[in-house]
Formats: sequence, C-alpha cells, structure tokens
Amino acid sequence: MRISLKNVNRSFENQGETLQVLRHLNLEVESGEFIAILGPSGCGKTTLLKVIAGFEEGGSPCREVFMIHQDFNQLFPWRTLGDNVSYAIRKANRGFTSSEGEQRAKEALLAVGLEEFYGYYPHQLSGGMKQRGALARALAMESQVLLMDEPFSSLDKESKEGAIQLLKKLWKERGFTVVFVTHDVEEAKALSHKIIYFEDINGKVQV
Amino acid sequence: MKWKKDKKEKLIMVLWVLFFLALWQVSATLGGVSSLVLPTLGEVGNTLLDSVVNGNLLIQIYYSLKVIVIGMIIATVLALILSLAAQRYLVMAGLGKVLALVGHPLPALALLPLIIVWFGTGDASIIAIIVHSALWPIMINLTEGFAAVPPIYLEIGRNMELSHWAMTWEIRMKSALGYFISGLKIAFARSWRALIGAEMVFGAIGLQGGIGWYIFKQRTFMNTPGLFVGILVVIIIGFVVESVLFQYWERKTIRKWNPTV
Repeated sequence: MRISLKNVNRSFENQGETLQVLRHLNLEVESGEFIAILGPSGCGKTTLLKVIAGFEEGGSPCREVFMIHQDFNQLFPWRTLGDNVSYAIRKANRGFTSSEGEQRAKEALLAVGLEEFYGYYPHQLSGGMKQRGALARALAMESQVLLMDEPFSSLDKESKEGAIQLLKKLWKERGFTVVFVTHDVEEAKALSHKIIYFEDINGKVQV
Repeated sequence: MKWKKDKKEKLIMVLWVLFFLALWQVSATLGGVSSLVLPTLGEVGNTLLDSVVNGNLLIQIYYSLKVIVIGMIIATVLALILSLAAQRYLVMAGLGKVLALVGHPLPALALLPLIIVWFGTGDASIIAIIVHSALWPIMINLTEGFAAVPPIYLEIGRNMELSHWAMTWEIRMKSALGYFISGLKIAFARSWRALIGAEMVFGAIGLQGGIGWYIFKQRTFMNTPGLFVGILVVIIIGFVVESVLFQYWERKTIRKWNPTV
C-alpha cells in the first residue's frame, strides 16, 4: 500500500496562539518500503502519523493502516494478550469463530516470540513485551501499513535491540510498509536504509 | 505480603465482632438491664428462628430484595442511556448535569409524600424511591468513567474499525467498569436505606411487606428481640451485597485487570 501526502497543513490552538505544526508537508512512501522519519521531540511527527492514519479531521481510520503508539498501554487491559490479538482478528474477519481467532492469535504471538504469554494480562508483561504484543495484533489483522510512533523509545537497550531485530525480520518476511518516526538517530540507522529528516518534508523540499 | 496483611486484617475484624457480641451478652445477662431494653443473644436467636419458621421473615426478605433488584435494574438502564447520550450529545450532557444536580442531593424520604400522591402506596412507589436513590450515583459515576476512558483505547478502536456498539461495549463500558461498580455500590447503599425507611413509613406493601415493615411491627408489639433481628438482617444483607457480591465482581474484573486498583 502506497502513501502519498501532498501539501498537508495542520495547526493547533494553544493558549490563544496558533501553532503551525505541519506546513505544506509532502510525503511519498512506496508500497513495502521501510522509512524512518527523524526529528526532535515535539516537532509534529506524531501529528504526521495521525494524518496518515486518518485520525485527524476529515480522515477515516482503517485497519489496513495501523498505528503502533509510543504508550506501552495500548493493549486492552481487560483482555489477556492472546485475547487482545484474537479479538482484533475476529473483528477483522467477520464470521471467524473463537477457536479460529485463537489459533490465528497463537500464530501471531509465535511470530513475535510471545506464544508462552497468551493467557497473561497486559499488566503482567514488560514494556517490551507489550509493544511486541501490539505489533502482533497489527500483523494478525493483516495491516498493510504500520505507523510506528517511537514504540521502542522507552525500552531498555537490550529490549530495544531485540524489538528492532524482530521488526526488521518481520518486515523482510511479510513486506508490509513501515513509517517509523523517532528522535533517535541510532535507532533510525539500525532500522531503515531510508531516513527522512522531518524538517526536509515539512515546509521545505518535496521528497 | 499484601495478601497476608489482608488476611490478618480480616481476622482482627472477626475478633472485634466477637468481642462486641461477648460484650452484648455479658451486659444483657450480668448488667441488670431489662430484656425489653437489651435482650440476650439467645433471645434474639430464638426470635430469629421463630420469625423464620413460624413467621414471614424469609418472604419479607425476599420481598425487599425483589423490589431493590427491580429498582436497581431500572436505575441502571436509565443511567446507561443518560450517560451514553451525554457522551454523544452536548444537549444531553447538559440535561444529565441538571438532573444530577437536582436529584442527587435530594433524599428519597423527602420525596415520599409526593411519590405517594403520584404512584399511590403500592409497589410502584417503593420502586420509584429505589430508582431515585440509585439512578444519580450510577449516572454520575458512569459519566465520569466514560469521560476518563483513555483516548488511546478509543483511537485503537477506531483504527480497528469497531462499530459504534463495539466501541461502547468493548471500550467505554469495560474501561469505565470500575466507576460503574463504585456507582452501583453507592446506589445499593442509598437504595437499601431508603427502602427500609420507606417501608417503615408506608407500612406493609404487597401481602407481607418487607424488612422495614417487619421492624415496624416489632416496635408496635414492643418486641425488642424482634427489633434486633430486623436490624441484624438489614446489616447482614447489606454486608453480603457490598462486601461479598460487589467485591467478588471486582476481584473477577478490575482487580484482575489491574491489581493496583
């Protein structure tokens, strides 16, 4: 799935002042591409992802373009890890039975190395495991584009490296499109061959 | 560690209850107090047995519980409709706030004469009183709970293309369940008090009346052990519902999802 944004503008009202976050922003991402967008915190990277995902005004989010948030608490706490994934699968595939959903959820968790934690509630998992669980949920719904909003930024070094290797491996195997925003140069380098500087697409040059 | 502390605390509470029962028994037997003022535990026990076997106590308990369950179900449905509508429409949010501002501080017993005028002295009046007592705390808590749903869950729900119904049930309701249970607890406590009070004012409703009517009758006949039986039954039912039923529900849901609650 290809992403194409042309001349996108977004501004916010903050204490009576208008803050222009996205200014004539242009972005093209080819299907199956893995790009990292690098920029300092608070520069508008999350807003950009929300525009792509359709969360901003006028947009309509869909499960093909799924966002993985920075917040560790994105799995529903009232469902176990496996049930979170299985629920998403059943919602994406009307007519799936619970056992079909469960089977597919187990496969999805196996792919991210969390098969043993199927029956664990999110509060029983570490931050890194939660983020891998969120990744499994997105992949189980067969999302074509993953929008990743610094999902590993708060992980310790070891968990972060593991998560990066896992994401790269899954991307190579499955060929989905990834837009990964980060403020961490090393993370961007480790993940992607194509790094875009946020300031280069926001109000300056066309990519 | 926490579990051990909880167990210890429960044991201490049981010991305090036993201490007060012993104090009661000693005062009633050795204190030279008339049994019309303070009957012994044995007298209270015998009266309880007699009320159950020869009287209508069980039917009266059933009646009180039946009307409170009906009233709380109606109140819950109304609270759900009002608080969900308040989430969606500003005009309904305003209505919910006005109703809660007017209704919440108003004691059910203050409404009693008006309710009798409107609904007569039958079951409908008692149920109206319970609905009034239960509706506001449930609605206020649910509205707060819905407002406190973490936006990230709503965003993920939208991203998963959940239907409006699924967003309400899966995300809003489950996220706000802790608030809902708290609201129900307050609602039960208020309704239970209002019900007993209203029964003592109304007298018998239905064929046998409820526990409030049982207590009222014991007072009429100056049957002090019977008064104690009525009070004990009110305490025990309140305890079972609040500390057993609601706590069980919390343990199976919100405490399992987040033990720090």
